[in-house]
Amino acid sequence: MRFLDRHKTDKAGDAIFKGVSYFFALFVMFLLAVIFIVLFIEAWPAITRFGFGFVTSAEWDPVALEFGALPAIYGTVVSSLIAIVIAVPISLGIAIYLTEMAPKRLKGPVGTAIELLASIPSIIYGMWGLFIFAPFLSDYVEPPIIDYLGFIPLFDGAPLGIGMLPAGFILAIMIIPFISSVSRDVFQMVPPILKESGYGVGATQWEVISRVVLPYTRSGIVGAIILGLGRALGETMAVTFLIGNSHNISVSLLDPATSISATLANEFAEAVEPLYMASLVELGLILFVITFVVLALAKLLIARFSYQG
Amino acid sequence: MNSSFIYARRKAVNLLALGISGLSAAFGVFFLIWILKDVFFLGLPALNLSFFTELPAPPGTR
Repeated sequence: MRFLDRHKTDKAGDAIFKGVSYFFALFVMFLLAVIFIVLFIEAWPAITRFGFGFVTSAEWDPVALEFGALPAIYGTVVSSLIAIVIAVPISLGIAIYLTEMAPKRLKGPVGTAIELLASIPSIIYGMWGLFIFAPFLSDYVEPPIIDYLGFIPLFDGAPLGIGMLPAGFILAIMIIPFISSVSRDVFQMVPPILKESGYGVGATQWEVISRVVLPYTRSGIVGAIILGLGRALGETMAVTFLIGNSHNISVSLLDPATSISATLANEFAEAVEPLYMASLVELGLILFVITFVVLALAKLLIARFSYQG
Repeated sequence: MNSSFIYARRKAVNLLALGISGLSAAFGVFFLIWILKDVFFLGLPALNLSFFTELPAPPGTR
């Protein structure tokens, strides 16, 4: 009899556990949907007022209540791309150094130092960038760039120290720890026997890395990059401090720009008119959609690139 | 192309790649130290007991 009872209670426990798990799994989806719906409702006045032109207009005039999201979208995308372009090679280099090269006594300290970069609050990156890094850039780095590369429209302009490129650079430093620690972890999962067979046929260290380790870990690296990209797209404080907050689209990377998150951080408190508020919320909705699309593309990429043997 | 040239080139590429990866690690550590240095040297002089125990002064007063 007792045996049967226990069987019964076990079954009840299973059912409860299943229900609770289902509830929380669906709750995440529910939260996501609610966030989307609330953003949509709050943004509705701006959506009906500007329509699709909101995404293509570069006009941002709070006084005349004319709003267009293009400069902010452009700034978000371009600053994140700059960050990815700078951060990916460096992060992969760091991961290679930590897994293949570093002597044992340096592995721990250097790895910890890189991970510590992730523990610096973004407001510190922003303040440091504005008060120390931007003056340094405008005194020593940007004048020679403008002198020697100024004939390229990308590097034309005034050495302000704040702008698209400095913001992208700080973003790169912020996402380096994420990309490098994830790629270090996937590098460490390469079976030693694969690497040993590479060395066995006389490959150099770099040949083993580029022809065995990197192909084997391709999908993991794509995942790491997307993690960094996701962080760069949504990053607010550091970008707000450094990007210059100007609603203009300029070809030059040295000119001030703005991003979606920077616009939200700067203007939410002063948005008194309902249409202004709705436009800001619509910006947030656009950011939400951009990150969503990036993550979806990443899933596709990972499925496509994963190692087939 | 004789084999010793190929060998030297593979060796050079190897050294170059490993050098770059070492440099990128140095890049990360360099910025960590730079930021921490500034935070500590600019922040520590402002720390004292009254900083923690008193309310912030209203703007415009000293």
